[in-house]
Amino acid sequence: MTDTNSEPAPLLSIEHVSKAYDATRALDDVTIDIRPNEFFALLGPSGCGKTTLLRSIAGFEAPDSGSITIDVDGNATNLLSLVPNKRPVNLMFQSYALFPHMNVRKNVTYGLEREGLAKDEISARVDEVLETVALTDKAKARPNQLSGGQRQRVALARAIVKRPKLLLLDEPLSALDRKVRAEMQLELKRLQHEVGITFVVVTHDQEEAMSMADRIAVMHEGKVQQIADPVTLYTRPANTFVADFIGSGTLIPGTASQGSFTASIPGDPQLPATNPSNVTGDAVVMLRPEHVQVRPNDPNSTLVGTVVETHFYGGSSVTAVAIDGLDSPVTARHPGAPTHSVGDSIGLSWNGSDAIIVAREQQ
Amino acid sequence: MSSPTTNAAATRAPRSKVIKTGVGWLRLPLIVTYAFLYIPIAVLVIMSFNASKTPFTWKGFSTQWYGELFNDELIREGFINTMIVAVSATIIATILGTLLAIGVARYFRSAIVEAYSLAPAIIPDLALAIGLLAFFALVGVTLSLFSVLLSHVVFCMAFVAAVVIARLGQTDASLEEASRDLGASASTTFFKITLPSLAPGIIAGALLAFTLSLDEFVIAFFTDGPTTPTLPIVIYSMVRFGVTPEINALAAILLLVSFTIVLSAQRITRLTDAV
Repeated sequence: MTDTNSEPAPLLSIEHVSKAYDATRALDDVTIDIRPNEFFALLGPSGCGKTTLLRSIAGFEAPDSGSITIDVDGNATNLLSLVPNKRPVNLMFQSYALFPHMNVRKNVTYGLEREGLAKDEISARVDEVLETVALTDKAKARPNQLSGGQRQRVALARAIVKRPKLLLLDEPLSALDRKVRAEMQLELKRLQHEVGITFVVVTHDQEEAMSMADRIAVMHEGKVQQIADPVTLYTRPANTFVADFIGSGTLIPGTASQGSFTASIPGDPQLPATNPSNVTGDAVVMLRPEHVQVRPNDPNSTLVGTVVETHFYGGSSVTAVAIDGLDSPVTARHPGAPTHSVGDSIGLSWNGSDAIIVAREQQ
Repeated sequence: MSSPTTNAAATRAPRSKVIKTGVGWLRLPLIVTYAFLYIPIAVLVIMSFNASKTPFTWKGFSTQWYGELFNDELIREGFINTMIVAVSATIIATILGTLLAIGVARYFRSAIVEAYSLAPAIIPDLALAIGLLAFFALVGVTLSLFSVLLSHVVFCMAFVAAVVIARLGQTDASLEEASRDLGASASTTFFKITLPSLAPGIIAGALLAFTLSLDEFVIAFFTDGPTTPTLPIVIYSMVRFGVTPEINALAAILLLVSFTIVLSAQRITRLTDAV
């Protein structure tokens, strides 16, 4: 991670933005800086406020308080004072919102015509962008004649042809089926590099966010929980919500002190955990499946339990082990076929440096 | 379809994929009710080609009544009056009805407002006619073709609004946001995105309004001036002295016009459903 002094000036500054609908706080004091040319993701479960934030940037929602400014050639411009059609940002809608009565080329041309550019410049830029998204041969097709993936590319072309400072994408891949989605993830990443536009993607799919984004803001109940790069989010979650939401794993409650962790389960076992961030007091320890080893009758094992489920995924297997006093089983992932069967008594062990200790929020 | 016994059936009707349910005689009510619907209309059309002057005897095929129709001064005048009313009422009702629909659906989300805006299409013609007559008397409007036109605009507008609201329900509201996002002003968005995406509904509504106004009798009868009868009023005053083959011919023409328009309206809405 870059340190604070060498951080580039932010392209977009969202400061203390709040928005309430009746009794619910859709956005609660949200502050995020988005840097030039980064691929940023707003991640969270539905209803966490990420779409409201995106629509506030685009101009379709007005925050109750706070400011959103964008850097335009060195000048900080107040976005909130501009109507949507005057903002130097573009939004790719979840439904794609392609104009059904226009063909692909007309759809892409629409935004440039509004800028009043010369005909040949419009034509050249449209040709170029259609080439970029590989839709030159579909220029005359109507949106209803295209596949889901092609529609998504038209929506993308229509937005990037405007050369916005910032491109907002609302759940860009959710309308696609699984296979096309994986392809488009790579495609979006490639395009972002190619066109050099800052992308802000809203998604509820953590794998999607982790695989595409340079940095991610995890949101929950209108609040930003953590802003970090994918690896930091995964290895050093800031709170129990992030720990639970990102990746899979088991949370064991207990008490942390310097260099150790005592689990609140029968026997009060001390669990291996190096506790580098020196969390003390009420906390949870997070065990990722890939860090947990299962061995029968291993004297090193700190927890002993009973196998309740085994799953074979081809290259690897997951073994779920029920521990006395825990609501959900601890899962362990290991290569190859399952080595144990349901009902086996089994020992669990892991490296203390892999256990993640997260302080528990005071309710 | 693989067993040998069903193969024979398959070759006899290779394209039939509809599974026939029920017994044959249950289709009888359909045939009877259909006949009940269309026999009077068929009689009318057949009689309009009857060479005989009385409806009780058939004296061979003739198109003379259609010819005489165009020589009848009263009918020609009535036809012109009706066309003036129907065309202008359609234009005005289409514009106002579309604006009403967009206003109700986009800017004033309320079930009650929507219901009241469509009410003139549902309330009895007689009530509307009496109400309009009283209103015209109150504000001192002299009954004429103009008062018929205003009255027709009222109920046609409700029909147009109903069709356009249905269309609005099918269109993606984010189309308009996308247009704003791409740099279009509110008015450009209205003319380039909103109106074109509603066009099928607007055209269907206009055609509906035209057919409704064309043969509307009750409201026109109450709100028309004495010197400018519309076609349905002319026909009404003629049939009081008996149905002539001329009137059959006239009704057949009206029928043809209405049928064509209603079918094309249906076709326009269906064609664009795919979008």
